[in-house]
Amino acid sequence: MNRDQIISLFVAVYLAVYVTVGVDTFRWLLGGPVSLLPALLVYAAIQHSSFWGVTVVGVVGGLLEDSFSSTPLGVSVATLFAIGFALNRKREYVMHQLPFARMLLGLIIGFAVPLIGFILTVLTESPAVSLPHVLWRLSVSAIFTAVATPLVFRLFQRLHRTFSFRTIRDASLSAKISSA
Amino acid sequence: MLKKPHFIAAGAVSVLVLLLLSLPTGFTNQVKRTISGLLLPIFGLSNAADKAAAKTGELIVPRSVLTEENRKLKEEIQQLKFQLGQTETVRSENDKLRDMVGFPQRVPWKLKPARIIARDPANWWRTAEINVGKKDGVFVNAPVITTQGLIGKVVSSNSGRSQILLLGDANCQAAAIVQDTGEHGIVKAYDADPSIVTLTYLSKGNNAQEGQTVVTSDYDLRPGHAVASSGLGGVFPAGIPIGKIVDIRNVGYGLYLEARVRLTVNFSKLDKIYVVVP
Repeated sequence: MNRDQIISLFVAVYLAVYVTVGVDTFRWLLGGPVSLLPALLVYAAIQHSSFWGVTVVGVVGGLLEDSFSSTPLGVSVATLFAIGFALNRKREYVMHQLPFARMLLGLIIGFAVPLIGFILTVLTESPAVSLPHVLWRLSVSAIFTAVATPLVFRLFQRLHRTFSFRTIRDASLSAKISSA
Repeated sequence: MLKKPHFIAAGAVSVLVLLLLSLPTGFTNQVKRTISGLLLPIFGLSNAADKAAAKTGELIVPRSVLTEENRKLKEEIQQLKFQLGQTETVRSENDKLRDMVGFPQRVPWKLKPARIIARDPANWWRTAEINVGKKDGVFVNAPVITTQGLIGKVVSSNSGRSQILLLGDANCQAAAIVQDTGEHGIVKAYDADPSIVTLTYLSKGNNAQEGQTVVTSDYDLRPGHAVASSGLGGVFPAGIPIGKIVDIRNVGYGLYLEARVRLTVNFSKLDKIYVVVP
């Protein structure tokens, strides 16, 4: 994972947290908050063998999300990093090339991240939520992440392609100039 | 097999998490405020974009619409001035009567307008971030209201921002009164529906009759009765609307009543809010 990719992931995490806490559209549509971090986590864990992507999403995303929440600081970091780290270590065994496979991965991670976060939260605090409410929120998060994950892969691939093409064009242009 | 850098990363993050979880609450709140401050530039950009969009919208409103709106607002101001005059008379009378019977005078409220800039990203809590803080006179436990009613209280505050806890969160309770019957209770969270809260420990009794030693519960509560803050908890001033009773049931083996109350404020569409400051 090169520096540009880490920076672009960092910016994506920053914007994802902003969308979760500052944009009310999804809340109105889905009846509660949804996070793009699980989708970014799948991308960071699967697309790159390096663990830096997972660390960026887990630590930066987790800290930013927890700082706007009543959830104890560190719970989201632990959840995102643990799941991302495990997925990253087993990425060779996970089918992830097809959009459907990515969608399925998004579905599972979108369910697992809030579930583990909720379990950790319940161990330290006592939020007022009923079981049907928890299941509904987990389902919404899973479906949202399933839809978002292939889009995140596509977005980053397009970004990567754009930057790669620019490098080649610049190189050929500089070669022409130098030969002239 | 895990390589050495993986071990180091996993170990470093584990230490960080343990450190964060073991921090004292006050310090954690400060750390949270500092970290959440990193998103302030984008909130500022978003606010500026909203203002620009609103300004553009204002430019394309026809003059006739503005004139009509202006006329209606002038009429409303006249009505409100008249009502204010009446209220002032009642207030002065109330002050005199309080003085006569030795009751302490009511402290008048000041309202600090605020805007919600961020909501809790977790599904399990009901908190929000507002754009006023200590420099605006906001303090911890200050009540937060809208024109429709009570919404919560401030739980932490720094110079320019505060975190508020909304009614319906497990950590937000309020002393309340059923205005139609005078029964007192405590507003607590209701797990199944975020637009509803539980009003519990309703225990107003009939006035004890001669020879009667037990104060019995009165059953004249009805769905539709208005619930407001009672001022007994010491946090929320009395008389701020909270909601309307949906249904009532017996709990604690008939020791007291519990009512479900639908909140007057729609928490998913909070626009203008006010912090009550002294």
